[in-house]
Amino acid sequence: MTGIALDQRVFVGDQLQPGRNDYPAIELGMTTFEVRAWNDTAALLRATLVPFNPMRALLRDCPLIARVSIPKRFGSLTHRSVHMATRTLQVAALATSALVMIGLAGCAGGSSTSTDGAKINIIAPSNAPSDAGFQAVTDAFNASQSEVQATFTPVTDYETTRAAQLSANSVDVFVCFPRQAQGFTDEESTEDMLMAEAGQFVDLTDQPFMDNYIQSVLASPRSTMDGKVYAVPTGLSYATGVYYNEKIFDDLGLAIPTTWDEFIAAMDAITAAGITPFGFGGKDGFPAALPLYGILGSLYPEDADKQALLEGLWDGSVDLTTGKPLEAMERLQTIYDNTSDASPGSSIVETIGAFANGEFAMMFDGSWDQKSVTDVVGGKFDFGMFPLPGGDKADQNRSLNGKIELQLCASSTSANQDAAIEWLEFFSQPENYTTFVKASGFAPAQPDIVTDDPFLDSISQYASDFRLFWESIVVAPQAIAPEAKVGFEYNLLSPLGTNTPAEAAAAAEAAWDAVR
Amino acid sequence: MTNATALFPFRRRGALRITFYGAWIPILFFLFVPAVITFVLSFTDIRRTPRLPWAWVGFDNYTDFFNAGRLTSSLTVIQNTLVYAGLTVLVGCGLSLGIALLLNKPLKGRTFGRAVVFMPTILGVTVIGLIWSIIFSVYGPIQGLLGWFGTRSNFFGDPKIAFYLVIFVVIWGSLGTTTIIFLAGLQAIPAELYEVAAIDGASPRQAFRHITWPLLAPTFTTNLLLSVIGGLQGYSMIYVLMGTGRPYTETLGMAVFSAGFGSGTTTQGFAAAVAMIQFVLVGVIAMVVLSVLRRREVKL
Amino acid sequence: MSVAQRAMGTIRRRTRVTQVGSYVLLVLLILSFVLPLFYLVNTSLKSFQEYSINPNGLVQDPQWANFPAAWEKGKFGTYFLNTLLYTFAGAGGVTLLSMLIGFPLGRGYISRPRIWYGVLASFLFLPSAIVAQYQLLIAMGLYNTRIGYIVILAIGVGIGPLLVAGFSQSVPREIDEAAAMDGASYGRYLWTFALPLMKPALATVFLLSAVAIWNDIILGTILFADPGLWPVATGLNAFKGVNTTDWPLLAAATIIVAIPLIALYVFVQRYLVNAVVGAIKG
Repeated sequence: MTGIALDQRVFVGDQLQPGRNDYPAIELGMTTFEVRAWNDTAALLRATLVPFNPMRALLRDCPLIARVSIPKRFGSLTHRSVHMATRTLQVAALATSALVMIGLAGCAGGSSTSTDGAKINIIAPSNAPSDAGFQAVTDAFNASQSEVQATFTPVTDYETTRAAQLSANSVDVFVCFPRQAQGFTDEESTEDMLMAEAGQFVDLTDQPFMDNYIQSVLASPRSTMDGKVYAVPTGLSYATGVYYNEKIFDDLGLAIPTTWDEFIAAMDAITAAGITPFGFGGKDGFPAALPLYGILGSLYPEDADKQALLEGLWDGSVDLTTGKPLEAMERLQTIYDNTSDASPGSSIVETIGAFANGEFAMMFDGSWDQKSVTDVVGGKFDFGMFPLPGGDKADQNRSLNGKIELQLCASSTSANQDAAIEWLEFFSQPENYTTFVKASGFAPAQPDIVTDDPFLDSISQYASDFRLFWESIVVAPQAIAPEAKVGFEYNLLSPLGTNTPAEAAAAAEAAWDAVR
Repeated sequence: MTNATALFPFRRRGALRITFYGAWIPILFFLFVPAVITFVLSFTDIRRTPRLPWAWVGFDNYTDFFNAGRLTSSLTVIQNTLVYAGLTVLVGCGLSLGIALLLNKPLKGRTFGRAVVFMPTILGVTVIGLIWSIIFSVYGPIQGLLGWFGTRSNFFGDPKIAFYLVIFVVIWGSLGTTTIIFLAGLQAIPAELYEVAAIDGASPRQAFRHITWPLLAPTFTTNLLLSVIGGLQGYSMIYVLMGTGRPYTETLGMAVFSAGFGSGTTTQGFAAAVAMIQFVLVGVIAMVVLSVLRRREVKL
Repeated sequence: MSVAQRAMGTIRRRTRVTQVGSYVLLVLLILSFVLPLFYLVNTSLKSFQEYSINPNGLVQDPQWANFPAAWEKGKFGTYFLNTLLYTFAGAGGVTLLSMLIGFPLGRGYISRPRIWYGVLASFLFLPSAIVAQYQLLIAMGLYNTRIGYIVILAIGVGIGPLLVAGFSQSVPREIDEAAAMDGASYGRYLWTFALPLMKPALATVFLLSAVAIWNDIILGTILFADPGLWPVATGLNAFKGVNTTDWPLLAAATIIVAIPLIALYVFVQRYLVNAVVGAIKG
């Protein structure tokens, strides 16, 4: 039946004695093996079968491969099938090389400078409102003249992309992070500081359009490096404010708190009414630190106070486990204890959505998101912002601290520096700048700009003198444990972690000690 | 240099030399040389932005990785690497063996089952990551499910469980390839063995122990070796689900990327040092696994 | 009932229970892979508002416009074309290198093969060289170019040469000798005879590396500055970075990326079934 000769076959059985069932196999001339039970058979087969090579079986039986078979005998491989196989492979190879040619041709364009019209590329970290603002200004710029073609590209993974584009020389205007060197050790130098030293930024100090900006902003330690200004400040925003649901406050008859005790009292009243007091977008990391910065903004109100704290961190004269630093952690814990359960796992946008749904009364987010909050709340209730009153006295709690938004530098290695400067100048003209500020929701970095933005108007009373918030000022040695970068390990406090304020403060102190 | 042996039947050896060594050149240049350069860079403080001055810093990058302030997060990263590799290998191989056994049975719909299990491999890391980010969002369906039991969770936002969720997604996405490999191995076992066993009264469990398991062993060890190495080095899913800058979900591979290309203040020299530390760890573990496998006489 | 009949009854009952159990497991298995996809589709059809209010329920008001919106917002057309190029060129490169290295090694044409095998095995544990590759491409001026990216992909041969070397041992040796006697050169032999015979191994290597390449986000992120050069996995990841908030849009984009892949897979599936059936029969 099977076509295999009898004497080529093997028979395995347990009844091979004369007279038993299997004896005929011997009579027929087959090679026989005697076994006792089925597992003997299995062992026998295992021993005699060609050792199973998984890779070979995979290659033969891999379900992804179209019907192919290894020719069992050489004779089955005809000339024709070889010819066809060869043809197919040749066509495939040709197609691939054609694709590669197209690809290579396509990649030839990079940052080519064509003679009829310079092209400049502007990049910034992606953020919907400011993206819209930059795009609007760029479009107006392109419409207003024809020698320069400007392109704006919002970017995620900004720091890597920026470094990458700089090395490819494919960017002309980009967001930079200037920082005045404090005179600490070399460890403190950030990439931007090194870039300034290496002359990779165009010096804008003497450009006439820089006079359009608020001079105190240009003089801040986050604007100049060694007395030179390399960056155009596109706006200001505030990080230490608390968004609050005015309807909830009105219903409960609460006034805006101006001291820490009033703040706690309001918090308790809200809790008593069955509403969660606070929420923030913990999943995105930095929002959890915003209440901390608010508290620090009150405990160290002036720039000089924060500066002294920073110096104390570097030279060890400040002990994070006592006094104001510890108090900051303890007050932060109070806030965390009254935050919604969903906060640590919510992204910023989910948090804004939750705020709009009334899931909590107050939200920690920067004023840079004010347009998004307005959109999502959609008029369901009025909301506003007040500075987090982290200190005991009203005097300490009067100002919002913030940062200089998205500072733009021009690359000195770009082939189109003049065009880049032209774009920056266009951006700095008051009408264009107003367009940007209105779209982005930043507070203006130029004086006398009318924004018609009710939110910005409502907080202007808290923003009369510009103060940097702690995160803008603090810088840590490169070797520091990342959690202790800002000097306060907020991620250790519940609900983000499991430590008490004292333990978290001790951990931060240990981390800084290790690198002093 | 003799590079063609007596087995080489062709007259001229030129083509052999050109193609063989020619193929090695790009590999050595773009794969090996960078590996050596990584070693060299780990002793510098080279930065991400090009054309900035850099200096030799000796072993500073290595001591920084283990210094007192950083030690907890560094040890967490190393521990994460081991947990990640261990769980993805053991749970992954174990589950996929079970699934392969199931899909090997003559059940209706098993072709569909095989197709569906392999689907995630086709879809790719980003698609899988996005699907599970949506499902595990704080307002998503799993949260609803937990709500019926009266609890809740912050999923990827909860430092205690985020890492295990990532591992879950990685396993879900990689079951396809290991299952297919096991299926191929299972199908190479002659069906007659099982028939004989059944006739002689063996229970399914006995059949598994005495037929399936031994004959599958080489497949299993191949899968194991590849999974271990992949598990010790892979991190794209972590990047998609968690992003950079979170030590509690980082493995060493992710830490290299985070340090070199993330938004921290670390230099690329430091990232290179982390890569070398990973190399040592992977090397040691791979040597151990290989020697265990060699004893089982597996020929790749 | 006789003993035999009762025994058969037990066996039949045990078989039925096992059958039911197996089917239950199969259904559970299929659900655990299909439900997430279904949820993705469901989310993609919701408007942003509907998703904020009701993330988990069945979609009430399908927004088919989400799909063209996602397509336009992310440049998925460009990403797909890029991915096709990179996959073919990269996987093709890996396959070619694996063949040129693995075949002579497996056939015994190379003296002192153990050294080369050792080097190939060491490929599995090289350190993560992304930092060095980044700096190297910058220094060579190949940063942010398609050719630079393809080169880095093509040299990621992994276990390719080992697979080819192993498979080449099962190609009958008579072919070499016959071809040599007929006066064929090594090059001609490789191209005309060896390649077709090695098809299964080469196809496996090609497919394994193709899957790895179209899954790549890391190299795509660090070796490209220009988003127009991104492959689809990197592009989708960046799209997620820019639109972290808009889950329905993200879901729509994900589906846009997934559909061609699923279509391709369904197409290959037919060969899958046939190959498995063929393997069992043969």
